[in-house]
Amino acid sequence: MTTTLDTTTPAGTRTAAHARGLTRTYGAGDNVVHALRGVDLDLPAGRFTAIMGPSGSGKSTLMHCLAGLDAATSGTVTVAGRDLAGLDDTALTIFRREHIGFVFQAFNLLPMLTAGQNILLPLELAGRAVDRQRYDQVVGVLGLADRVGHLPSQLSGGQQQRVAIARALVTQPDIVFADEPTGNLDSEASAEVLDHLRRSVRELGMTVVMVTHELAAAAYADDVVVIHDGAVTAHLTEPGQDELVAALRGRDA
Amino acid sequence: MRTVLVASMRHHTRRYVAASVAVVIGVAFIVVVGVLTGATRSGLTADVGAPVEGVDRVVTTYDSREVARLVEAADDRGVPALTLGYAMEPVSRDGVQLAATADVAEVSLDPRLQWQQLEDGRFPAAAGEALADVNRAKSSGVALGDVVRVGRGEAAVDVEVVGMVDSPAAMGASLYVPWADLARFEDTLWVDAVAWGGSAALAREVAPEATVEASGDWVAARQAEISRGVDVIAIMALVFVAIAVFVGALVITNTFAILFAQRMRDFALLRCVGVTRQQLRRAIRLEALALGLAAAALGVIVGLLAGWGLVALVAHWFTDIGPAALDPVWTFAAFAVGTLVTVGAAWLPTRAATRVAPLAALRPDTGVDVRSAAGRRRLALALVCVVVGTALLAVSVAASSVPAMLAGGMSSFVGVLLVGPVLVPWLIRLVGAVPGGGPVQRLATGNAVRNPRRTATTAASLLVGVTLTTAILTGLASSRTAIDRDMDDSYPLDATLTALDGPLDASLVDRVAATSGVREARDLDGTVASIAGVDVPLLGSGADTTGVLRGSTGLAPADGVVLLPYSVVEELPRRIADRVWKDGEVTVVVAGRERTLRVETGHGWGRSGLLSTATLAELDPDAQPMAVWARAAEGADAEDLSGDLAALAGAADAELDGGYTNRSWVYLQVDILTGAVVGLMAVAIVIALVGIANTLGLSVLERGRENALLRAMGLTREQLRRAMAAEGLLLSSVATALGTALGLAFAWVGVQVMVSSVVDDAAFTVPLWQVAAVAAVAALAGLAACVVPARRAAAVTPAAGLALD
Amino acid sequence: MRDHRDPYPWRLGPSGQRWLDRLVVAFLLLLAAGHALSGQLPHAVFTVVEVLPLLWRRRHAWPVFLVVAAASAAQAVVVAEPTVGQLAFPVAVYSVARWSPRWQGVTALLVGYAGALVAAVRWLVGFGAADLTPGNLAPYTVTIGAIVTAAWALGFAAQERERYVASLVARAEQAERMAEREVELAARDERSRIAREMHDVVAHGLSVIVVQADGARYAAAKDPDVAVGTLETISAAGREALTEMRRLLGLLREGDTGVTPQPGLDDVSHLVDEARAAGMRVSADLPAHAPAVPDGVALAAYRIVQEALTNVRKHAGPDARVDVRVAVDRGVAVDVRDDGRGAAAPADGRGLGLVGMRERAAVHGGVLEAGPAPGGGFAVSARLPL
Repeated sequence: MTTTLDTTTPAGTRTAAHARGLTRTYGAGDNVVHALRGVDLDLPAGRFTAIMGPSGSGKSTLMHCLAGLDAATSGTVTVAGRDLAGLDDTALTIFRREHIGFVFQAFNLLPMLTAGQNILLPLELAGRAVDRQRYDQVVGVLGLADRVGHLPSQLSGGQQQRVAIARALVTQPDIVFADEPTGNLDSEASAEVLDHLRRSVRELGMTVVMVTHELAAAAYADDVVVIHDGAVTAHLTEPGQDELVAALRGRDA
Repeated sequence: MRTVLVASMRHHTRRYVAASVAVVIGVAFIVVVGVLTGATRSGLTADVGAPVEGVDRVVTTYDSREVARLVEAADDRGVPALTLGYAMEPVSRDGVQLAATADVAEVSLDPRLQWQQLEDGRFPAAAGEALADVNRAKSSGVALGDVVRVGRGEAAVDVEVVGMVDSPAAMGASLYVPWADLARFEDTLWVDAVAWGGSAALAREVAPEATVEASGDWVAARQAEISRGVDVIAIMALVFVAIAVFVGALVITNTFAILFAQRMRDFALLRCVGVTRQQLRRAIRLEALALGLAAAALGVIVGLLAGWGLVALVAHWFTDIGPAALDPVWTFAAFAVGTLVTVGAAWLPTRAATRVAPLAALRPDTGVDVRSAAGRRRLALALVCVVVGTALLAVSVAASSVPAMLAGGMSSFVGVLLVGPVLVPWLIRLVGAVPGGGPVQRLATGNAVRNPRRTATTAASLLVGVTLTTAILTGLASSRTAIDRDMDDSYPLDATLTALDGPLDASLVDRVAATSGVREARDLDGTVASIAGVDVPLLGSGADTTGVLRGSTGLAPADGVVLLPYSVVEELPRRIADRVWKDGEVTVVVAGRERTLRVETGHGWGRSGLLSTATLAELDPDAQPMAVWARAAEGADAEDLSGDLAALAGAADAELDGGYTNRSWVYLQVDILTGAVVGLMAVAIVIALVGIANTLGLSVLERGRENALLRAMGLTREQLRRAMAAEGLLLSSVATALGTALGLAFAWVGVQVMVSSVVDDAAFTVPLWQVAAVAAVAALAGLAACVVPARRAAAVTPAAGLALD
Repeated sequence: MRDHRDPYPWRLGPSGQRWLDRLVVAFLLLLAAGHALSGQLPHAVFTVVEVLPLLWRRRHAWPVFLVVAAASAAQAVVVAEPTVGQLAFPVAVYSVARWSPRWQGVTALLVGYAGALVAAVRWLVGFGAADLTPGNLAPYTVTIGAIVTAAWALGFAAQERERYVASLVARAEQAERMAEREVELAARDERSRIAREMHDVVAHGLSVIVVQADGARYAAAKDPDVAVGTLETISAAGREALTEMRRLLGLLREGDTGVTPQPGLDDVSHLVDEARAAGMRVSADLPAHAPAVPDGVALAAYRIVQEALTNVRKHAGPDARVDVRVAVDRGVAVDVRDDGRGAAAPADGRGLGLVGMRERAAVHGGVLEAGPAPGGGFAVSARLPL
């Protein structure tokens, strides 16, 4: 049912995160929902991976479990070499703070903080000193220099997502999770956001894992993981369009 | 629509509970006030008719001669009659004064009119026997069989306590003596009615000026009088009730506004589906009505239970309180008020809620962020109110006009409330900018100011309570200072022991000084002088007495001047007294030598005349200690002190006088008033705190996604809890600070207007401890109000929060 | 989700201003009524005269001030005490400082000082002060002077701020306009240069041809050999014109002396080699041998590839791979695609290059599309019909 990627990938042998036998169920009795069924997955470092699947396939749940936002029912999740199962809520939160970056589909920013303050938020929460150089670099790369003083309500959708990306990058995380980052954007803004994510992988050496249901967005990624009904049905490296469409349509291994 | 209504009420129960708590408290408050006043009224009016039970008629007259004639006539015809009135006389036993003034009434020797409830012993059978009130006897240490002396001087009479009775609050006395003894106290006897067992014709014959009425009518009139007195207190309590209801209305409006903001998508959905605006409005108003009815009913029940409990509690100390009575009119009024306030407070938010466009349901949910600062018109109105209010206050100070002060106070306060959405967030930002809080503080500040109107309304509810409490406390403290000064002038001496016959023992002053409760004692030399045949001790009072005197003016007469108390001048023969009043001169005889002195009159130092030490030396070079003046220590118990000093005075054959008991009594009243006011205002403050808890709790529901984002980003549970606590603390502390400042300002104006017109040079005293305590309680309670919402917010896992819609 | 709310709700619009003025005047007149009611008729009259002009203080601050000052002076003569109308004076001073030229503001201030002294003297005398010593006068004068100064200062500061803000706004607008114009100019320059020079060259050459041809017609009637010579001249003139035109099109690229032959489709491979030599990873799909394409179109295609590769070098970032494809069918298809930063590259002046490319394609009747490519990177594709 699953395809495990050979760890010798073009980008190197390191995995940023992996899951073994990851299972997540909700509810009980007649209302039980199997969101994930025994997922085995390796996410290589320094690559842009897209997790694709139709709605209800469990891709968001997979991301939540990998990111430590939700606890798995069974199975293990290892991120940056650390097993998440043994951590209590506070330890998990601190781990997230230091090793994981997030970009959500919408509602990424706190409405009462300016863009600059939003970017620095994880550092502030951690109580870490602000690395001005890193901040300037990230702001420069994302082209936000003239927007850092604005409130989110004064920014366009694309600009808000860029701020979210900047915030995810400023802590130099081991892995960045993006949940449908272009879901609410028009094509121009989508291209911007996706190009920025690609660029951060290429030039800043980040590892980005993006959950999406759009083919056009997945085209930007290096690798594509296809998930159906809570199980991984394909893990493709630099797939062509046809290969990808076929994997999405087919439900067998 | 009914299914939607019922379903939504069931679904959102928790949110509605929040809204209803304020109503419940308010209604319960009204009911409790009603129950308490009802119980007080029934307690006081009971037994009013006891003295006149045995007779058919009551004759009302204030003329003492008519009273005497009535009693005589009754005696002659064998008709039962009982005077209803008191004499205020000192009571002592074995030379030790038990009470400086006790109320003494008549006890009938006719069994038909012996209405007192006998607890022990028997009723008097003749003159020289007396009944004592059991409670007052206990506190004075009088037992059955004691012989006490009532009155002073020639009119004094010794009576034996043969029985103990329990007398009702409104009609009782400490001591009951037969008419033969009571009639001697003509100076202080005050009789306003006579219970008349005879015919009306006879009464009119004997006392043509008097009013004769049936005893039932007289009792009813008395009861009405007492009820009116209780009603006055009830109405004053209603003022506080009104304040609590006003604060409650603010809280409910705010809560409903938040509730509707959260249900905006539901409403938009309904509109999409085909519900018209009127239907939606009606449905929401029905919801509010249902909530109001339920909350008011619950409030009535809670109030009744609380009222019963309180009455039982009070009955422990104040035995004269009657049983808790349920006044149906009052209860119904409370119920109606609760319902109306709920429906009324929901009126405005309903209008805003039904204006939502159906499309709003289709837009993606990006969180509720309703920024609604003050509009321009509102600001202009606020400015006008503040300016007008300040002007009126200035006018009221200049003209000492209370109506202007009230109008000015309300206007400026309304202005502050209107400008709240601009003022309160600004203040919160100011406080929140204090360094050292880190990201948690920044988060809390940001959250507290993001919806200015909501923040302002929440703060306003607490502001009302704190402002009024601070103002009243400060006003009372300033009044107390003014009273202090007044007291110092009226009662410059706490206690004086003045010799009756001969000089005092030199060691008396030491014994007085050694008494617990006495701070300082001084003895004064003097001599006994005869003024027109009346023996008056004359004391030499110089500058050395300032230690025991209160107030700034000393009691040191100039040479050749004698200070005589009014009571002594009254004792002098007519001619001499006239000379004192007209010419200001009197001739004193000391050891055979005559001397004419100028006279100044006054009171407060006991029964003695005051001379300068030089004049005294002239009159009697061989002066002996004749009086001891003592000053009480701070907080000394008045009764204990007077008891101890009375014992010493009795033993030393001296007379005890002094103003400490009166002082203490006045201060006691002020303290009771302060406590009562604070207690009543506390209800309003509690409602305001409920409002803060509401606002925060409901905001938690709104910010689910945001909090999930923060948690995802690395905010720990502990930090989130702290942020919410900080938010509540910011809100309550800003409201408290602003309220304290406003309260002090209003109190200053109030003192200028009301107190300084009566008392010159009124001081503005700030009761620092009390004000600080109120501020601390209000601010910290704001913190406590956040505990439960913070816990609930922190308990949500990030994934669950992100999935929230 | 832009915020359109006014961050300064207390700044009044024009109707708000009118209402404020009316309210202020009404309020002061109300107080003047107080004078009238207490029987101080002259006070009331002077107050009305001093307060009423304030209704026009925004538009005609200077005349209003003069009226108020005059009325105040008259009042000092007739009436011994201050009236409510005194409140109008600082308002008038403020208005002058706010809306009138600076010299008028300063004059008003000085008049105010003089008025302060006069008022102090008059009112002290009016209150029955024994003697007018500097000690007596100083507090009054200083206080009134301070009020006048404050009013003037407020107005002055407000006017300065207005000017400053206006200058900022003007500057910003100007900058915007200049930027727009630059783009326009660039496009127009390109076009007009091409047109002008093309016109010069072609017109000259064609006129030579026409003259020669006309001459030959007449000459050939007499001597047919002259026609051959003339045809030679015509051909030479025509070729010269062509050469000149090519030179012209080549001159559009800076730094070209026009000596080298105009680049065509074959030269695109040189571009690719150059790029590879500079370190770019280029894969090219070019036609094997030079197809028959008009020089102009070939040049345009060449320039487009050149510009696209330059952009790749400038904006695509490190490690970008470029795909160059030129195909000739019924038109010339040029596709340059890279997998670099794409939309993530900062946009600085790239617009002008793209504008030039579009103009070239349009001159030849073709279309050019340039934008982020799906899957990342940037793609330029041009279709030039033959």
